[in-house]
Amino acid sequence: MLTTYHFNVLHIPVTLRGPDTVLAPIVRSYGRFLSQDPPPGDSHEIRIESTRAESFTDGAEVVPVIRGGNLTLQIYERFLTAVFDRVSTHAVLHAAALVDARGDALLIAGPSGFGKTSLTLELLCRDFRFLSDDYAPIDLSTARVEPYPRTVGLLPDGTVRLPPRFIDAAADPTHPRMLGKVLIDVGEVLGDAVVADEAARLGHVVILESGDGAEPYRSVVHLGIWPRGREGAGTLLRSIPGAELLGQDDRDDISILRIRLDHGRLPPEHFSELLERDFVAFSETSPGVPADFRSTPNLAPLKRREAAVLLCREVQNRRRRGRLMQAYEGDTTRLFLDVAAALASARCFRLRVGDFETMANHVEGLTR
Amino acid sequence: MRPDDRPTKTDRYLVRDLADELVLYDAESKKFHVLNATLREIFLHCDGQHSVDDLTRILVQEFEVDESTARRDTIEILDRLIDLEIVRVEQSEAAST
Repeated sequence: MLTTYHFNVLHIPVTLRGPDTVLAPIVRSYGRFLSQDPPPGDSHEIRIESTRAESFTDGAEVVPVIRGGNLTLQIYERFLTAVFDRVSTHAVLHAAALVDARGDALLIAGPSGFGKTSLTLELLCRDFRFLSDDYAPIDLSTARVEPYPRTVGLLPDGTVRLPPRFIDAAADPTHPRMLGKVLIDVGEVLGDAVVADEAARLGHVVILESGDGAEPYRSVVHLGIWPRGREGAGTLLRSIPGAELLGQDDRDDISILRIRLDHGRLPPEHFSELLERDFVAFSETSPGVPADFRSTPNLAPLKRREAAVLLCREVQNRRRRGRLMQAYEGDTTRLFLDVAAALASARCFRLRVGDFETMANHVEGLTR
Repeated sequence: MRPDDRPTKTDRYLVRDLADELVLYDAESKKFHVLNATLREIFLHCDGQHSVDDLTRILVQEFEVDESTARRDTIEILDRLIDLEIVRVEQSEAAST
């Protein structure tokens, strides 16, 4: 049975039509953006006729289904692209976002594996409200952070530190999964009162860092490659000076390449070009050194300019063909300037990661 | 530079005030400059209304320095900002004759 879902994400109308079994995880994550009626204006439609279809339509484009590939992920990638390519007023940051007791937004940014989600869930148990977990859209003209999906993606294998109520939820097999993570609606676990439905003005930015002196964001990239791109990605990687393939892991029919980047030899535009190829499903950066959650956390002030540099490295809709970059005529420095200006009324800090209770105490102390 | 000169900002740069610093970007040369708190304070008051004397007094008030230090700093800062074409000083008729 095919179902039609209309979404209005950051004022971008997108319609999905397809089997519920395929669309359920997306509907689960983006449920807060559903609307009963088609949104006004031209809605971008992504449509698949059955789970056994050999192609789907993405706007006017007919896209072959990747055989053996996870169909939900293929549709989700197109859905995200439809949104990110059309948003022109918001920079979508790779960060978690909360609202503090005073009503100001708090951004928690940092490399994957540094505890953004765990710290977010800890703070939700302490009077903070939830805006989003992984993507934080900020309106660059108003410095307001918008709510985004009200789900968090949790690894069910017990490797991530979670509050007890979320441990139970992560083990519940009825929750949909994507990329090996269980999608959990925080409102269902902690009550709807913990979910913020309105945008909030940015008040604080906390950048998570390791204590080993490794420069954040720079060392290792995890690149998700659709099967059709495995060969092309390998060839391209070998042509890029300063990019070294460390290994490959297959998960949910996506190959995840671990690539070490030597930024002393690698012009940034060479790697950006790779990220924009259509065989790239997603990318995540990490310092390559695991965070040590047994050490003592340390909080220190950070200049807004420095915080903006770190945030700008992970603007998700910075692709050249997107409307955000068209508005800047492709000049990423101008985008950086506007992200920096959006931080003008925020206090920025770097937080060396360590035990979560102390980390949460530090962050809670900032907002009192 | 004369005490009654009244510097103004040029329009060469894209300006973003971050409150703790001020960033200026020249889209043509792709270069940008970061002004610290003292330079920012001077730059923000380069509006054609405030004289070098006024700017000196602002530094004395904001940063609690003595007047001779503030005057020396003000002139050094303005010279640097003029070199970078961030501000300019129009020559008055009295000065040019």
